[in-house]
Amino acid sequence: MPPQDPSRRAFMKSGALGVTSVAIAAAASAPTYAAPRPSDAPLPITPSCSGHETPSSVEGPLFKPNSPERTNLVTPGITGVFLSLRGVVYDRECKPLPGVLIDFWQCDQHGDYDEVGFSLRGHQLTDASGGYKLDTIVPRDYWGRWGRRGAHIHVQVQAPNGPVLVTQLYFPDDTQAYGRDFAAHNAGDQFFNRACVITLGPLRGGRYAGRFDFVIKTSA
Amino acid sequence: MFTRILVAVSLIVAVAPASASASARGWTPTPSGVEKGDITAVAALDAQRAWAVGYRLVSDNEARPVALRWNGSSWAQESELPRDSFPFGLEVRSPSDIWTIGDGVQHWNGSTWSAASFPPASDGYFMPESLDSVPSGQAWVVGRLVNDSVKDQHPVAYAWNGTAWSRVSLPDLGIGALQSVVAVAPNNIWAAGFAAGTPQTSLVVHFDGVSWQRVSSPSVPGAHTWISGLYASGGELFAVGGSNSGAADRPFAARWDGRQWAVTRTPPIADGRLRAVTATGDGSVYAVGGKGAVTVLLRYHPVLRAWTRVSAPDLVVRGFSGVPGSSGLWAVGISHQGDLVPVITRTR
Repeated sequence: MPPQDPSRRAFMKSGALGVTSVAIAAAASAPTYAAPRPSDAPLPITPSCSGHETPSSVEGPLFKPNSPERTNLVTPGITGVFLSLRGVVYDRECKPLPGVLIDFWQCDQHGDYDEVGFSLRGHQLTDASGGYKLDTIVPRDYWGRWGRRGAHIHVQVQAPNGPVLVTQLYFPDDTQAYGRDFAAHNAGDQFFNRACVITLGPLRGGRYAGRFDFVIKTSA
Repeated sequence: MFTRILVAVSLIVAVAPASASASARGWTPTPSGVEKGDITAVAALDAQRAWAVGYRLVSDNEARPVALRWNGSSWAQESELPRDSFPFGLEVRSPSDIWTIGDGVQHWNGSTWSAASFPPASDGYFMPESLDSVPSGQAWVVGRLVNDSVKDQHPVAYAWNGTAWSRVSLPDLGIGALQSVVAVAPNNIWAAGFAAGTPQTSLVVHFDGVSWQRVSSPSVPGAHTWISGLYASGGELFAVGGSNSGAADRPFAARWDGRQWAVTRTPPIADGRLRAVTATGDGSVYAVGGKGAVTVLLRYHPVLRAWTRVSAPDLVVRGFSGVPGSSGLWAVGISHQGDLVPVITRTR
């Protein structure tokens, strides 16, 4: 087996500590998750900061340091269901945090990670209002030598001189992309955490707008 | 590729922009018989005999790795590989002597597949990336050893002496991976990939029959650079890959002239990273690649020492092979349309 297993074991070991009460509550109260779908606006409802720290998850085996600094991962060859993800990074007092380093990496529309290069990999710093933006695609679920996963986006978030939050973002059960059954793949994903589901607006012209706010520690 | 050594390339080739025959290459899909899945590698012995591997998705919960065989007119499944082998590389020596690489290395003896056994490595899980052999049967497989993450992976190579695999002694290459190997002769083996860093650089190593040494190789200044494919012809070697300086990938190619590696000029195609390089029976050298919607086929001009774009097949390319004794090429992969729709296409 490729080195997914040690990571999974590591997650099993640390997951109970990493998952907050918010995550547990969300999982317990929402057997299926449907994103809010405003009927007349492409943007999803902006959630308010809860002050609950965003749950961590495993880094997985496919993080590469030194990704390009960029907010747009969609290069000319990238096809798929586009995602304009926006959000704010807060501290636990719900104060927006500028200058936070966010590093994203994900697979493509076929479920492939770029292991030799840096496609669909990029880092950025939050703006003066703590905001970030990421233009990318909805990744596909995959099954191969790296194991089997539902659709997810990996992310590392770090305030200046703060600890690194390593987590993964997921998609609502009713996401429409690539003809895939997101509910089934979410249910079958051992790392899936409903507290880390991106809020999506309606699918318009092959494009989603999404929202996810992070709440992070600023000191160890 | 084993068949590569049967091909001789003349350096004395008339200088011409992409010839009419090359630029007008027509690609013809051939039904794979696999409705959903992925065809990841192809290799041909001649126009009548080719093999392809990949996997067939029989349901959302079941993927079956398969080997397909071309009989000169159609593809049919010849065998099923072990579950979870996920093959993506193929070395066909004869109809009863075939290697595949994927999650492990498998060997076909004409009737059954068996998993290759490698000596245990304390420094990581072996992830093979490329395999090549010489006519006597010796083979080399390269890749990386991964502990918990590719961020700490390091290059590795193993040699097959006809009986067993043993790990070869590489110099300290740091963090990185070997993505392609070409066995010119038992005392002339090349492997290439990338070395992690800021930026990531190309990585080339050579075995002279005694020891493996790193060989200086070019990279794109200020850009992440990598090599994905190697091809040897006569005294020349071709390396292809990509580079990235923050936006879309660009093709990258280099050539060994017998003394040193030097960049060979490629057109600046956005997302035009190169994946593999091979030659046709008439000696023309082609490189294939792309990303997603972009598919690239380049042809090498020996005198110009530059690559030009020619008509590419319409698919997301996973694998690529010349057809010995002809000007034909096979390309395999998945369709630009739909979700994991396998495609096998050829040009003659």
